[in-house]
Amino acid sequence: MSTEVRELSYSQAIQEAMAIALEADERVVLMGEDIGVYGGAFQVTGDLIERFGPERVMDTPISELGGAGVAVGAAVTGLRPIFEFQFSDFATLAMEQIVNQAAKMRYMLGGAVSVPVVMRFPAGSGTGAAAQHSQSLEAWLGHVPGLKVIQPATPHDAKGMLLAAVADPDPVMIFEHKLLYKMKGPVPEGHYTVPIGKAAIRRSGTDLTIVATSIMVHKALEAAETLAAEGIDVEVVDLRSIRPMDSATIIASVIKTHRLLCVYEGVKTLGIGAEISAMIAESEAFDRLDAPIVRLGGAETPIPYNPELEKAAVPQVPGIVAAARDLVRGVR
Amino acid sequence: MTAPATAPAATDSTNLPFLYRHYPREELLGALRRMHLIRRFEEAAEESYMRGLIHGTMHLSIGQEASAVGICLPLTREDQITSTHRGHGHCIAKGADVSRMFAEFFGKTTGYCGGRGGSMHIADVSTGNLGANGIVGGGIPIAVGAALTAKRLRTGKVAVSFFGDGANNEGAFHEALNMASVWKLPVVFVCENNGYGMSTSTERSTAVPNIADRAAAYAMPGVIVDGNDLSAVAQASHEAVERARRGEGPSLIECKTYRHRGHSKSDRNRYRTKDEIDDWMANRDPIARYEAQLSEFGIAGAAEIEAVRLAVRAEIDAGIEFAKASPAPATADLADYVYTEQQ
Amino acid sequence: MPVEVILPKVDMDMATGRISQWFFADGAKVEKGDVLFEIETDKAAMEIDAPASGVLRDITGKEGIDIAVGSAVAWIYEAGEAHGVAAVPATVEAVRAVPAAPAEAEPAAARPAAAPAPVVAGGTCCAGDVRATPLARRVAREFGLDLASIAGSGPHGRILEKDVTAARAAGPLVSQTHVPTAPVAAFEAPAAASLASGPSDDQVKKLFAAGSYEEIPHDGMRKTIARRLIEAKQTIPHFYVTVDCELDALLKLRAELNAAAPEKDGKPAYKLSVNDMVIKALALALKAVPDANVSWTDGAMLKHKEADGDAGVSSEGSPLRRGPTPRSVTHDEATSARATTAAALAALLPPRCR
Repeated sequence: MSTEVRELSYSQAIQEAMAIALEADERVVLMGEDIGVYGGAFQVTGDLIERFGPERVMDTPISELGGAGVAVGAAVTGLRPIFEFQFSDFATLAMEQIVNQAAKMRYMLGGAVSVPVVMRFPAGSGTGAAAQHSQSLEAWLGHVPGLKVIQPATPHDAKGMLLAAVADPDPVMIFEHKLLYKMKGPVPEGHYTVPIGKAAIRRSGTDLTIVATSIMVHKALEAAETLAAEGIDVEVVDLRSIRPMDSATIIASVIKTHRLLCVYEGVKTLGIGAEISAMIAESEAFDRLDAPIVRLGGAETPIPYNPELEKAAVPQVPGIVAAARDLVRGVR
Repeated sequence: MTAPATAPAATDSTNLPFLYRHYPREELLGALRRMHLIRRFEEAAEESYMRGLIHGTMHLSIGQEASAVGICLPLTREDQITSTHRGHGHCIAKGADVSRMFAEFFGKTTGYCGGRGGSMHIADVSTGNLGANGIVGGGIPIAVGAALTAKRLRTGKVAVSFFGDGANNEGAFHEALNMASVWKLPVVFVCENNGYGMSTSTERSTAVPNIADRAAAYAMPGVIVDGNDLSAVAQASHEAVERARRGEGPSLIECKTYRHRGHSKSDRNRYRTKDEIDDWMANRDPIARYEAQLSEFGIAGAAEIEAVRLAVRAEIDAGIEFAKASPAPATADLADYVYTEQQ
Repeated sequence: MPVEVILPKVDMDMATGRISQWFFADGAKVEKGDVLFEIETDKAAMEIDAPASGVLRDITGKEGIDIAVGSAVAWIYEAGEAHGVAAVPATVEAVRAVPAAPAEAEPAAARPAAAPAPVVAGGTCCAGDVRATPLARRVAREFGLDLASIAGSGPHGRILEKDVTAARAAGPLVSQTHVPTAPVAAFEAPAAASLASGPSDDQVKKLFAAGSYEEIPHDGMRKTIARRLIEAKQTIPHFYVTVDCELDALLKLRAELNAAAPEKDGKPAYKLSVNDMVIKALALALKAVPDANVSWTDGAMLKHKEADGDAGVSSEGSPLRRGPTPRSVTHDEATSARATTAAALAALLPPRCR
C-alpha cells in the first residue's frame, strides 16, 4: 500500500498526528488553554474540537500547575493526555508536577505505575513576544531523569515524533519552535512514527560537524550552502532528541570530520551544547578532534523586544558561517 | 471493602449514629482493627526509627485514625486515593499490608516501592492508593486527574484526595478544586485539619476560620466534621462519595482532628503546649471513643476489643520480622524503573 | 524484667547522640513520662521521657560522650525487683568520633612546564608543552613523529593534523624551516627531567667539555631580563615566524661534494646529507656571531669557544634511532654523526638567551 506524501506545514502535521491519535485510541485526550473553539494560540489544534467534541478536546482554565497535575493523574490511571502549554515559558508554573511528579512517580513507586503523558511547548524567539514568551527551556527539562525531551525540526518529524510520544509509556516533553509552525515540508499520510532518541543527518559532509536543534537545523543548512561555495563541506546533524540523546551518531560524525560546532537557541551557558561538548570530550571522538569544540547558543540575556536585538540574542546564519569557516581553516 | 449494607444493629436502630445503621458488625470490627493497626503501626515505626532502623524521617498520624478509616469505609478497592507526606494511615485504611509497608521503610526490595520511595512516597496501587506525596498539595491535582479518567472511561470509580490544612493555601489546591468543579468530576477532597501546617497554626496562615468555607468559592458542598468521630467521618464520606458516583461532582470535607506527635521526627513541639497535646490525647482519642461506642452499643465487649489488639500486635510483629529478613536492593539496579522497559 | 532506656534517634541522619544532662541519679524513683535526660542536638536540647515507672539503675550512658543511637543508657527496675542478678549490660562504649582527616594541603601544583623552546633543530624536549590538537597528537604518535619538531600553523602555533601530515611527507630529516634562534650543543639524554624547572648550573656545565668555554657572569639587569622573559614565555601566548629558505645553491653544492667523494672499496667514502650541510651552515653562523654561541645558566652565560651543531632526527618508526658509526671523513660530518647518536634523548633543552 503506497502512502501519499504531501506538503504540510509543521502545525498541520502536528494536528494530523493528534487527529490520528484521537481517532485510534479513546484514551487520548487533548488538554490546554484555548485549544477548543479558538483552535489553539498557534492554531495547532484548529478544528479538532468539531471532529472530536469537547470531552476529547478540553479547554482548561488558566491553571498550568493544576492542569499539568490533572494530566499526570489521568495518565497514571488510564488516559493518554496530550497537554498543550500555550508558551514554553509557562512550564515554569507547572514544574512541580512535571519534575516532582510526572518524572518521578514510576521510580518512587518502584515501577508500580507508568506516566504516559505528552506535554507540548511552543518555544523560541523571533515573534517579538519578548522575555516571558520566547524562551527555550528544553535544557531544564532535559536535565531531569524520568522525562523524555524532544525537538522535532521538520513537519515530517513533528508528526512522527508526536505519534511516537503518544505511544510512549513515559512522559514526553515536546518543544516546538514557533517560527517553524508555518514551515512546509513533505509529510506522509496515515500513521507512522519517528523514533525518540535518534538524531538525523540532514546533510552529509567531511570538514565539520554541526549539531543543531530545532530552527537552528535550518539555519545550519543555509550556512552549509554558503560554505560549500567556499569549498567547505559541512555535515549537519539534526539532534531531534535531547533526552535520550543520540551520542553514537554525533560521535561517529565527529570522528569523520574532526570538528564540531553546536548550534542551539537556548542560552549558551549550561545548555545543550555544553552537554554535547562534554560528551564528545569524554568519547572516542576526543582524539580525533582537530579543532576546539565551539558552541553557538543564545545570549546571556533575556530575549529582548526590539527586533534587531531579538535577532542578535540568538545564533543567526552569518554567525554560523563565520564560526564554521574559522574552525575549518584552522584559525580558531 | 464491600459497599455498605443497611444492616440492623444490635439494639434499636433509630437513634444510632450513622455507622451503626449502615455497616454490619463485622465491618465495624474491621474498622476497629484498622484503627488499631494504624496506631500500632505508627508506634512500631516510631520505635524502629528511634533504634536507627529507618533512614530519613517520618510523619506520624497517631491521633488521626478515625479520619483515615472513616473516609475509606464507603470506598471500594478500585476507588482511588492520593495522600500526603503523613500517609501511613491512609495506606492502611485503604487496605495495604503492613509487612510490605515496614519493608519499604527499611528500604527493602519487598517494600511497596522496591525500597525506592520510603515513607513519604508509600503507595499500594493494587488497593487504589496512588501514593503518599512529598510535595504539599502535590496529590490534589493528581486525584482530579484520576477522577477525569473515571469519568471519561465511565468506570464508576471515585477518587479521594487527602491533604492537610497547610495544603489548602497552595495554588494547586485552588486550581484543582476549581477544575474538579468546572468539569463536575467524581472526586472527594478531604482536608485533615490538625491545626498546624508543620509549626504554623491555621489561625496564623489561613484567611478563613474553616477550610470548608473555601468550598463555596468552588461551588461545591463544604462539610465540617469531628475528625475523631468515626461515625461522623464515615457519614460525611458516604454522602460525598454517593454524590460523586451520581455524577454530581466534587465535595470538600474538613475533618477537624489532631496529631499526637510532632510534624516529623525532628519536631520539638515548641509551637504548641503540652496541655493541648495532653488534652487531645487523653480526652479525644478517636480509638478510645470508638471503643466506648462499640461497648455502649453492644457491638463488642472488652474481651473482643482486647482480641483485636492482640491480633494487631502479632500482625505488626510479624511485619517487622518480614521487613528485617527481606533483601536490600542491589546498587547495580539503581537505574531500574526510571523509564518503562519496552520490548 | 527491667525496662531498657535507650538513646533514641531524634533527628534525620543521626547515628550518635550526646546526653547533656541526667535529671535523676542511680537509685532514684521515676514515673513513666518523667524527663530522665536531655540530648544535645544541632537544633535544640531534646527531653527524653522515662518509658516506665520504677527505679532507675545502671546509668551507663555518661554525659558528654557520643553514644550510638539505640544503645541502652540505663535500666528501670520494678520496685523490689532484684538488681544485679540479671546480666548487666557492659558499659556503653563511647563511640569515638572519627577525627576528620586533616585536610591534606594540595601538593603545590607543579610549576607550569617551561614554555617550549622555539621549535628548532634541537631535540625532542618539551613535547608536553607543544600546542597540538588531539588528532595531530594521535597522528604524530602513529607515525613516530616528534611534535616538538613540527611547525604548527594553527592559532598560537597550534599543530594541526595537516601540519603533521605535511611533516611526514617532507621526509625524515629537517621538517621545519625556522630561523634558528640559538645555537645548540650536542648532549646526551639526561635522566627524564621534570619540565617544571630548568637544569641546575652544574648540570648545564657538565654538558660541555671542561675548558671548552669561558664563563661570563650575568649582571643584575641581565638576570632580571631573563626572569621576565621566562615569565613572559610561560604566561603570554607566543607565535613564531617562519622563513622559507631556498636551498638550491646548498643542494647544488652538496651534489658537487658528494660527486667528488673518493671511492673506497667501490663505494663513496662519504655521503653528505642535507642535514650535514645545514649543520655546517649553522656552525659557520655561530662562528660569525659568537654572542649567539652561548648557553644559559642562572649564574653566568657560558660562551662557547667552538661552534658545534646537533640535530634532532625525526624518522619514521622511531625517534630514538642511533646514528651511523662515525666515519672520519669531514669534521662536520663526524660532528653530525655524533649528533645523530645524541638524538636518543628526551631531555630538557637548556633555554637559551638571544
